[in-house]
Amino acid sequence: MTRHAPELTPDEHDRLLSRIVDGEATGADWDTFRAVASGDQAVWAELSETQRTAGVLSDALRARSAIADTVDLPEDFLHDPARTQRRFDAIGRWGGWAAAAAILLVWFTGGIPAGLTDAGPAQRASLIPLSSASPEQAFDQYMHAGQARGSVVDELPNPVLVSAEPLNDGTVRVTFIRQIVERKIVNEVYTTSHDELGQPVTTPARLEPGSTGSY
Amino acid sequence: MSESTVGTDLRTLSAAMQGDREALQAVWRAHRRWVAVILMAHKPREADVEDLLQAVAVQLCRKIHELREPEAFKPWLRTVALNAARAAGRSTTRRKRHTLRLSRDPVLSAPGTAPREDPRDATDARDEGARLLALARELPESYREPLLMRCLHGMSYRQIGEVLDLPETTIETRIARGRRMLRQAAEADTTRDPRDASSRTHRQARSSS
Repeated sequence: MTRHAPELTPDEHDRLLSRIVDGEATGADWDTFRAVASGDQAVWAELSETQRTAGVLSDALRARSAIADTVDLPEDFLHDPARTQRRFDAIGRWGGWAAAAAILLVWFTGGIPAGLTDAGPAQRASLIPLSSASPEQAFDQYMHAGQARGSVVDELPNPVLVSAEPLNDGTVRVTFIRQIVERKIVNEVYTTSHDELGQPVTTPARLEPGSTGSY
Repeated sequence: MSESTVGTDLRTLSAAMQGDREALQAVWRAHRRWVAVILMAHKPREADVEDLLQAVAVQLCRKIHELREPEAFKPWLRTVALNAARAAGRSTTRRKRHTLRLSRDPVLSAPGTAPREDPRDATDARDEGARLLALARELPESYREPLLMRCLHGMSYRQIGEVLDLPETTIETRIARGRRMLRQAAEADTTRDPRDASSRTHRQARSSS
């Protein structure tokens, strides 16, 4: 018996393949597919590739979404919802965790505002005995001395936010990393990579004078 | 797909909305997988899915009691996930603007040989699943989401439609078109960079040996 290949629109064609891939094809769908395939053998390859792509993508996605199984609701919410709600309310004043982090990043963009440090501009340049210097003053001395000797380039303008913890009084305790760029003369530079077995290997970097690597 | 990975019954959901903590935990566990998929479909590459899931979990605790109808839960949770992913995108953009990046390889970073920005060059992109996932994330949003959700095996067109608030027929069409677009993108990607074709052939040969 000779089948007439039905004329399918591109959408109908895509849906037919998709249903087969999803295991949702009816008997009529299979009849249609066989009829189409009888007039165009390439559709088998198309189906095969669609199935393969869907399978590979599913495996990749399931592996990556498995992390979700490790994320539960905040523990303290389950044990003490009232207290947690108060903390949420405190966070809410900042517009949520994400907004709080964003605000802090913007706030830090220009560096630590001078008014928030212990030392004023005049004090920062002067040398104070370390034993009596505040942490900020000691830090400023380190920066100035390092820059004078060339071992310190600068501090990056945006500290990395580690955590923002709302306190009961409505303030927020932030923990952050100050990023200092330093410079040093060394005899060798190494790079790390992985061999074909995935083991870390260290190899000397070939840097020629004039080829200014970004280090 | 089992009930635990797609959804919960309305009674459990209603209990969660009324403050039942165990019910809320059950609701979260039943939905967090597809929430992860929504986040993966929309998050910036640098953002961590686990961090974003925690942000969504916090919002779930804070806001679920404000929902009026259990039927609105899935689209609402999707919106929460979208907002978390977009907020991460905004903060990532701000950080990029001010962050000095140290190159990983001083040889490659010599002038004129800077590594190009290409998702296929990422370490995990050596495997084809990562490459397809990266390509899927570049599909238009309306195709990307249903296609990726469908990849969570067993999530039916109807269930995806409940999350996206769209009819089943629309979902089916978008998944079908999304698959074709992904197939074409993968073919074009392989044609564009023969390294991938050769490495894939190598992998296939290795895995079949």
